[in-house]
Amino acid sequence: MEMNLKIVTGKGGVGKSIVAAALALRAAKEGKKTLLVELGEPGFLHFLFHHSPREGYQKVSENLYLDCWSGEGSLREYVHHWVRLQKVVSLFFDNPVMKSFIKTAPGLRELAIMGKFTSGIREWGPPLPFDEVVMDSYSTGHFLSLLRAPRGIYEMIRSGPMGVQSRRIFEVLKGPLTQYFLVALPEQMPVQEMKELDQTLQKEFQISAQMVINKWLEIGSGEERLSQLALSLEGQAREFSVFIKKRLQRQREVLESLKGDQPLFLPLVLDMDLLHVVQTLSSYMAEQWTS
Amino acid sequence: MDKLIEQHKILICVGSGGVGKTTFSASLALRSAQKGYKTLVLTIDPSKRLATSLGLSLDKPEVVEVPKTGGKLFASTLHSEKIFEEFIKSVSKNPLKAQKLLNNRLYRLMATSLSGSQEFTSMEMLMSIIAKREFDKVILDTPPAQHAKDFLQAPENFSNLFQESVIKWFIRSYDNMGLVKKIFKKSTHLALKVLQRLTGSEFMEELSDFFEGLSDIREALLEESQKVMCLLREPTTGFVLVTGFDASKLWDALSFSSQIKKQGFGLRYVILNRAFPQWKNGELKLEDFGGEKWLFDLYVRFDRFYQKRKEVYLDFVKKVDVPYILVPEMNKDIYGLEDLKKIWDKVQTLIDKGEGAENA
Repeated sequence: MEMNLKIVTGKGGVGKSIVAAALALRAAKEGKKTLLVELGEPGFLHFLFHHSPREGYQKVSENLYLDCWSGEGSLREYVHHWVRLQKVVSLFFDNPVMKSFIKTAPGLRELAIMGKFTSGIREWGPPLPFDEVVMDSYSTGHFLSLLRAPRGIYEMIRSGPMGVQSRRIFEVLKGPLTQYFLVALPEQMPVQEMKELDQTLQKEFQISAQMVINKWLEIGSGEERLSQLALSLEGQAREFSVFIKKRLQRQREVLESLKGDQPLFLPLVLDMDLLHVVQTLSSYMAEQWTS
Repeated sequence: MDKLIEQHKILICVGSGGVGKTTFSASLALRSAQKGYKTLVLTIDPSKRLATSLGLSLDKPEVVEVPKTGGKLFASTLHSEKIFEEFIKSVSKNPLKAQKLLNNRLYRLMATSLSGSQEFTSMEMLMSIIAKREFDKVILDTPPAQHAKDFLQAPENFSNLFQESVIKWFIRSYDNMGLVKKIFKKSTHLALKVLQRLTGSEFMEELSDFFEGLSDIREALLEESQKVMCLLREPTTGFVLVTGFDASKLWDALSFSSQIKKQGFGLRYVILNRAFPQWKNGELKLEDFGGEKWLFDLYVRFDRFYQKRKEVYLDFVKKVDVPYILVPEMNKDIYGLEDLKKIWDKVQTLIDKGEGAENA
């Protein structure tokens, strides 16, 4: 089985991490050995799965593994793979000058993360024994830096191992094995931002992404009746009807603005138990999304 | 709540991504202008519609007056790359060197993506505006960040880049490999060799140029960072933490609020955005919905959800000992001046009624 990569991004607060977790759970249920990756420090996903962060990936459920990648950690792993001698690796990373350098060198941490992400397909660097890797990426701006780093570096440095591998990383990221999911809420602002990001991906990288509208409210045939009720009901019941009516109106505006695009939808799940939300969404994907 | 405006010259809105910082900043600024203060709002990455309603052009870094506010409100968008470029040119002792840095390919990669560069430039802009003393109040929106605390860590991260030791090391070591052996410890030399093996010599040369360029602006930059930190700690500078209403966002806000206080910054308010719906949680019955079962069922689902969320919120406010304000969920997207004003009116009504705020 060939390895698949998925990257999930979107404006903050749209449910990016939940969608990434649901995608990973769905793949795991299909029998693929799946790694769900959080970037930076262990945060929301570790909180979600009630896992305390540990070195390396850890099993969450059948076929599903969770890990957190930092730029520095990925770099260390990479250096270790090639240098082998633990003593030299330690010298390298514990050197105070090197420490500052790694923290600040432009693009280096981004490159290390994308290098690790694509290492299985490039067959280069430490092994990544999974059928699918789902990355809960940064939100819009920082996500673009992740993509720009490998390209920026190979355009700058043509020769040497760094130039060659940066080019390969970028080829994999643009290639058919990598899928991009841009998540938004059914509201004008997040949708607008998602559309702009989609255009940037097309223009700058020739990448076609999949748009996802999260928290979509479906009330079926009740919508027509609602307009009448919003007028005839009284008090708080009326307030509630107006609330729903306006929400549906916003959704219609969003649909209108997405004419010509083919977004996928995820339903609004009214549940504070987030793990349950993830399960619901992953079942929905399995039933409703044909991929 | 108006006291917040009265007592401060600078208000900084911080919070993790997607919580409505930009909108809240604009709304705060409008209120300030309408109270009679000449106010400037510095926005970062506003949505097109918000920018339009503020009269901002997204490609020009100018300060523009917002029309039809009933006060003196000015707005500007942060153009990080441009500000940094100007900063380099103004502090560099050698214009040729400055130009060389600006042309360096690693610099160009960095100017847009380096963590901390956007935060630095937004503070740099704040400094130059304060120096001109043109405005009574300045409201600063902060760059999108994964975590609220990123904003305060940025100056440290950024000045790391300018540590003298690092700069010297790269310039000298690459200019003259022979010299390295004499000056540096064996371990540093070894680390450098590993780096070269992993990256190649072309990269190392580019890197050396980059750090050489930086050495020229280093002192000015560190000085500027120091000044900024002093300004941020002044009593007339206040922080407002904006947060969303899910468990992870509240958790993030909590760790931030304790950190910000520890570091000596003035956290004045916590804004819980989109905290509750316009309709009240309550005990509506099937009859209230004219017997429409489907609508009643929908109500029950939403009502239960919001009730549970309220529990999470009560737990949160118990832990934060800073005055807070709850902003209700609006029924529509917020982008016009009217909408921005409505937010305040809603909040004020709630405060007057003694709901949705504490110590406000």
